[in-house]
Amino acid sequence: MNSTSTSNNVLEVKNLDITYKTSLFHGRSLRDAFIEALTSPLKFLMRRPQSLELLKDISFNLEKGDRLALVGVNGCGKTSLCRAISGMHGEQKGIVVNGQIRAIFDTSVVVQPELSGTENAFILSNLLYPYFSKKQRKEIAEEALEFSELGEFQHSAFKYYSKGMKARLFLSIISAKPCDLLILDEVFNGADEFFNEKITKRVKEMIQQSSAVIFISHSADLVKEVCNKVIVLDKTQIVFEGGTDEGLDFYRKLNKK
Amino acid sequence: MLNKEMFTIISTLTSSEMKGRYRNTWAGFMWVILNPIIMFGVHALVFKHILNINMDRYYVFLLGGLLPWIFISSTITMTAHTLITNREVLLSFQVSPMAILCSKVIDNFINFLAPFSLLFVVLYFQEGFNILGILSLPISMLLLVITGYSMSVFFSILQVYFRDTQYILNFLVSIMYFLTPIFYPIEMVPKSIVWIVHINPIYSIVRPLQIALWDYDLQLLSIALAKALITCILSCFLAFIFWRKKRNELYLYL
Repeated sequence: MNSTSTSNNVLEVKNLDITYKTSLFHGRSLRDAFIEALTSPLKFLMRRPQSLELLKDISFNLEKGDRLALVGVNGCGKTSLCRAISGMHGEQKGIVVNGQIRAIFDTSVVVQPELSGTENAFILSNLLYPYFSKKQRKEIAEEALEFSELGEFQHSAFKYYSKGMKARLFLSIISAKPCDLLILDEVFNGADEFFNEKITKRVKEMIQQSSAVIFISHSADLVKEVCNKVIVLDKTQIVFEGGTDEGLDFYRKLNKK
Repeated sequence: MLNKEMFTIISTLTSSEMKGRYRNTWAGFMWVILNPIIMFGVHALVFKHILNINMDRYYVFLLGGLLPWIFISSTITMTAHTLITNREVLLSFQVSPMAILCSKVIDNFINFLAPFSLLFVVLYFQEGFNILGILSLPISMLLLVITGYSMSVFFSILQVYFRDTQYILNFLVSIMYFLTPIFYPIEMVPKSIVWIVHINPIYSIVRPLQIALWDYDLQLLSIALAKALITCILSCFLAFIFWRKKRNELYLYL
């Protein structure tokens, strides 16, 4: 495992706010903006962006061995929080990560649709494991291709792959190596029933080998099986932090009100 | 920050972009480099032989102006929709939008260098070049690529917010094509409107290449390089500020 961790604390999130500025551009085109600037220049100049406060004052820690489930209704900010933690928002005040992060938000990714599954496997291996050596990345791609059982299809152009086939290859690559902080957002969707059993076992093994995990899923059974902590997000804030069974009960009751 | 990991990501994306574009064949590569050469030939035919434009070393003039113009205009227009077309990748895992844009610009630069080098070699034996002018080419090309990249960053982010950016950009680029002295000399532009040429950022970035190859003069080249450097710094500054300001909302609007 490529790890840079030195202490037990893998992630520290302290007083994190995520606010998006919206409406200034939303649903508009340059043509509309040009027309508005000519017809109502005052209104155009006075227009101020509105703020969409997604998360407010979020604080929690993850230590080695923590498998955290983020639970909340759609649009509550789970994915935005994970994107901020993974560094996709750039340097974010209030987030300290100790180690390598791998964050996966979708499994039916096409990097180069014109190229074959084999070529895309090597590309994905390079993009997901850039800190590994060239030889290790090659081994990851080759092993994932074998695990994915795509057979002769691996030589076909990726654009002809079904969503399930793309998911097979992608899941095989992402589950090849554990890491310090693993973020998985609804990753079990997509692959077919028979392959799902095989890949679920492999992803669970990777989760066990990774130092800490943040897991987003709407499946209570999976959360119970994989996680040992739950955070419930509601109306921009953390409303529950604790054990899995209590967390899921709290979430159920919260949404029955 | 360009570290080893970023280098791996950019080189992977660039090579996959090239493989995808050339379809792993020599014919695919030839098709990509033939495009600027055909444009070069058509311009030479129309302006030199049909409209009889009175200029010495016209082919060299075209090499120094038209080919860099094709590079920078195609870079801006082709990369404008890059973030939108790569939204699945960007939303799926941690890959920097800047790395994807960088790979597109490098791929386009290689596509520019191939026909440029070919024509350069042919014209070197036919017309000859000033050796100091040739030595200045790497600096001029570096400024060209960095400016092209920063403009790509700006317009591709703008495209995420305003989905008609690319159409307007195509329109503006076709207007700029006529207003940039790349197939006619600046001396032909009436004095009353020559300021339009001087405020044209693309002309300021292309001009050092024109001087280095066509009408080399150390003083002229120094002034042109200074202007190109200012244009490059300003466009980088603008792109950086825009990226910093919009990067969080980018994922919301993709």
